[in-house]
Amino acid sequence: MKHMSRDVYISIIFLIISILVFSMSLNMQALTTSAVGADFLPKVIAILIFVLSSYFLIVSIKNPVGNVVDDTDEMEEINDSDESKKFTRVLLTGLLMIIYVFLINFIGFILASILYLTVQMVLFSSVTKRNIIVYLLISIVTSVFIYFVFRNIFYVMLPSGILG
Amino acid sequence: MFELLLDGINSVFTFKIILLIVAGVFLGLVFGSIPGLTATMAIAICLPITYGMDSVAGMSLLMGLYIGGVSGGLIPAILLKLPGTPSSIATTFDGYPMAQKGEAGKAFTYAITASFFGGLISIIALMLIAPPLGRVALQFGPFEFFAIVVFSLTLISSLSGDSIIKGILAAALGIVFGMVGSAPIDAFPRFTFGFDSLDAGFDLLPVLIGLFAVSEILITAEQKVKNNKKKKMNKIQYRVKLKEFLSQKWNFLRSTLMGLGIGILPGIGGGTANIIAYATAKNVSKTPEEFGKGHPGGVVASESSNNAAIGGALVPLISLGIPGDTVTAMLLGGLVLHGLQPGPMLIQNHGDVVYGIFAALIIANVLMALFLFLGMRVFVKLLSIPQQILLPIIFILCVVGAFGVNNRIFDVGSLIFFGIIGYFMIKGKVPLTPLVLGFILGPILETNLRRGLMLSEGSFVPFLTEPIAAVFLLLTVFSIGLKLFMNYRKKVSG
Repeated sequence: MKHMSRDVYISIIFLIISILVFSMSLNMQALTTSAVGADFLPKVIAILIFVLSSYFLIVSIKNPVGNVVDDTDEMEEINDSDESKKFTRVLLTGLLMIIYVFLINFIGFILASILYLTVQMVLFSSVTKRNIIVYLLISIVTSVFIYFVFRNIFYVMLPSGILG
Repeated sequence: MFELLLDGINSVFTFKIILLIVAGVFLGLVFGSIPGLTATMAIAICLPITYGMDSVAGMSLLMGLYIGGVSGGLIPAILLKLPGTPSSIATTFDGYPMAQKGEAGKAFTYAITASFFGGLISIIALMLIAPPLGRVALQFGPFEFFAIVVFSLTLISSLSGDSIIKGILAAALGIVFGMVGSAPIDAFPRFTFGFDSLDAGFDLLPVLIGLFAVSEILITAEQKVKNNKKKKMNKIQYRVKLKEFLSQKWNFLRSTLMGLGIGILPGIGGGTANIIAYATAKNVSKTPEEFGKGHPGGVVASESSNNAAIGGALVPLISLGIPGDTVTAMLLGGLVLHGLQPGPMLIQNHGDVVYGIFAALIIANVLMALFLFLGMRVFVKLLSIPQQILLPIIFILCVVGAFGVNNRIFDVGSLIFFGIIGYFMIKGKVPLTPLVLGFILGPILETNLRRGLMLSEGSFVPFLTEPIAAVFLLLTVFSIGLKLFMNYRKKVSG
């Protein structure tokens, strides 16, 4: 029964979104005297999402079989511990990305990119095939190359940070 | 029209632009041939490069990427049984068995030729259909545009996934994201949560790049990256007898037309076209049992239809400003970036750019075939570039792209935000395309709705009584009904 829960989660998330959108659009004032103001479409969409996701919630609770028949789900169910491992890796990558973006502001594009690239490459590769020196070299070359190419040829002023 | 096309060709025939198309096609082929990288990603990464270019040059580069990206998928599909892009899934069915029989070269010849002519016919069709359609669309007012947008959104929602509810929910979510920032007409700030940076709403590019490139990187992050097996290539024997070739002409023509038609429909493109064309080719074939065992017809059907979908998908983009799939959504981003307002006015006001795009497509199509025939060895070598090195670099380029739009870190933040949303949507099997299209079309929908209501002084009746608007709204109801009916039938028979 585990795989039915996915659609249940989805519909609950959409239900929450619809309620949020609707309550936020209650405070919108009409700035023009036309028939519908800035609050009209948000309300309509919120109601649409609410109705559809309520229906979807009922369907996916009542009828878990009808929604999932493909075999990929079956496979995921078998390796349950694998699922949590997968999620840890995604979480790490996501965190790494967020840290990287914060770092760009503080230490500049080049240093932040070198750090991010190296760590991410290590994270992506299996233990036996890790070659940190090579990764570090590739990271330095690419970061410096991208920085100067975009700065000088395409005029994208990437933050220089403490190196600038 | 020919004069305009000649002007277009003239404007493209400068050393710089030809060089850009060459680079675009090459890079597109590289992205297309490496599984996990797609045409959408290639365009996402190259958009920031076009900031500094004039619009014809920028769009030419993007067209090269588009054609290369769709075509490159055939290489790993035939050699490794891995479709490089969703557009080449059906190519693996017969291309790989052909390669196993030692006929890889033959399969390449069929695939490349089918891609070339499929692409060419669809580009010609695009040139014939888009300008007149654009002129018709010029007559459209807010009622008509509102109806067309509603129709496109429902069609996209019902076509792009298994569940129409998930599709519509995704589209609605896209509209919600599109509403962030100043409302159209009265500029009332909505859903900004107090962030000044959100006053202008989310920028299109971080949304697109996040949803389609960053989410893919996150998906790949689930596994330790597997490397593609190295593939030794012996001498390739490209030769195919002309007679064998010509025996595929009806199959080719049918698949091309199907690809073109599917491309024009919003919501689906080459990814769907190749599978449908393959299935049809197999069904009407006198020897359906040979399909799947290395029948050239399968390769021809798949590869002609996916390239034909290119021209098709560009029709609604150029004539109506409505993107039909993810790649054309990217291209729309490119147009907006260059200050060109997509829509029926595009051909009127910027005919030079539009015909430049047509000319670039034709040149890119020729280059694609040339590169594939002459440079096959290079592309095959590229297949073994380790992905653990490639993907992080691609993420950096995504960051550069998002940053470059407004030179602010805020957009990089929204890039990651949408990357995470995209990841969870892929995991939950909620289709991404409706979300993007909702995001792009939502503001158009609202503007036309409110403008229409101003014109009609608050009455909703004209939306239903203006003939063209009424037809599109009827089609909307019809398309939902059809999908529901088909789902019902599937349930009963299954």
